[in-house]
Amino acid sequence: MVSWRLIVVLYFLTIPFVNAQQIGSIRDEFPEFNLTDLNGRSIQKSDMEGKVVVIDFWATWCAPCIKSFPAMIRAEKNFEENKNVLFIFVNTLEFSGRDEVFIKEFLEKKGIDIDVYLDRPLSKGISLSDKLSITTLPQKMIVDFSGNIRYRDKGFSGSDEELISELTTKINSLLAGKSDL
Amino acid sequence: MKFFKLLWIVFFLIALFAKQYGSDPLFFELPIQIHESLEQNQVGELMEDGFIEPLSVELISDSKGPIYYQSTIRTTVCDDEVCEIMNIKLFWDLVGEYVGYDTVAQHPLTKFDHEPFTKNDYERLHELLKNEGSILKFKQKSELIDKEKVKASDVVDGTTGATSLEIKEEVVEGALYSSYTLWHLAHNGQIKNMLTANSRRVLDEHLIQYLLDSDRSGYTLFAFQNFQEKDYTKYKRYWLRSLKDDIPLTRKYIIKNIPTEMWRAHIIQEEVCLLFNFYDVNTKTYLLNKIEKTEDISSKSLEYISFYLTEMNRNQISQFLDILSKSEKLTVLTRDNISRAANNKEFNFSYLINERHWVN
Repeated sequence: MVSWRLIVVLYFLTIPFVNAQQIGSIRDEFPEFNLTDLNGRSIQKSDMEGKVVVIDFWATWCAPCIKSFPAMIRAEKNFEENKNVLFIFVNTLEFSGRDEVFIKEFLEKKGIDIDVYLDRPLSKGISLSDKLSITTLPQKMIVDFSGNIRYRDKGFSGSDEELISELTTKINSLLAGKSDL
Repeated sequence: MKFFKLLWIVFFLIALFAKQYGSDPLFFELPIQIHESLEQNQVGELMEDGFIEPLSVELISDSKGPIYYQSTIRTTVCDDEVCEIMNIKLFWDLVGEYVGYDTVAQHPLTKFDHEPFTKNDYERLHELLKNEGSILKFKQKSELIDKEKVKASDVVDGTTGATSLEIKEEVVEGALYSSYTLWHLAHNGQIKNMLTANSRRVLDEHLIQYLLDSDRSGYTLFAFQNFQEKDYTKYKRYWLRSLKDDIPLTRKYIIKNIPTEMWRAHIIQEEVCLLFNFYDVNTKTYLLNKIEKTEDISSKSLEYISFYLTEMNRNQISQFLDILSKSEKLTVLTRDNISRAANNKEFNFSYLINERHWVN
């Protein structure tokens, strides 16, 4: 007699937690995606296979994002000879109407020379930043050889050296096959 | 017994769940039951710095007419080190005054250390947003943090830098920039203009009546501001009630805008002057100024005011005595009141009357 009551009770008790799980969960595995850069070249998850990938999520309205670019460019340069390391700059959470033309002009005006991929909601309204629950910028991720997110950092302290050192250490650790970052 | 305890827990969780995911907003000041059958109509869009996408405002109406405005907003909040996307639903009344907010599903408000808002934080935010005269109104974003006074212990929005006490007391702790951004959205002049323009556009007899029946001072003032001359006759009891009970701004507006033709009628002058004792000091002065400029003021009106001679300030007494001196016929009661005030030993300004030899 008590058992069905308990089942009902447990059912209701689980409702909020089921929702919380759906709302808050972030998967460690980097999701499938397909982005196009300002020159029309596309990139997808399969292009990341076997590489350590640094992904920098940014937007034109995000001043700390722009401030961190010189450090990111220097960090990328440190690994330009290494074909196993890939840097991807993803323009996301952008103001409505800021298309590739706007982004191109924006970068030219700022004198920033990076290859930018555009993350825009697809027909179903899901963008890569949605899949990764990104609401804070700048946000940098490092994905390992197996496509797992191993490092996630939000914001930019303002110190170029700090950022370069942090990224370089993490990338080198992953290249060395260390499991603990 | 255990079963009933469990049942109670279930009901509590269901109530919590309903609050979180149901249609009732977290905070909503209007005495209106929000339900799904309410009609939504887009009023317009607005694009400003910081908006991810154009802000779209909707007018919500029930079967009788418009009742409030709402907008689901996606905006950016930045400090020196990090930027956040903030999702929120704001509510305004029909004259563009902030009346509440709600979180957007799957986007609870968070602080800059990514900690979620507590129940107290949500309540604090509503109190802040309700305060139209907040100090945030006069502050530029760059003034929120004093970079010269860096204190390690001072954590507001996770930034290093001293936040002045006056600002600290006005914001949700740990959410300085969010508080600032939301206050400026809730009291955004362009949004308010859009809403009031729309209310003016949809204003009809029913809506005027709805506004006049409301106890919201903004509603009554808005109705009077949109009166046509004939409305002063039609809604006489409403504007007389407002003269008695409403805020000084509304009283002043009414006295200033009573149609000239209507004001010439002695009965109207008398009804306005009869309420003299209910008026605040500024309204009293405003009325005396109007009377002074009126060619034909009824002696009964002056009589009504004369009962409150001892309630007036120095300038008002002088002005009222000037008005009386120009009046050809004063009632017996007016003369009695003047005489009584002149002889009142506890009345500080009795000398002003005696100087003019008003005593019978």
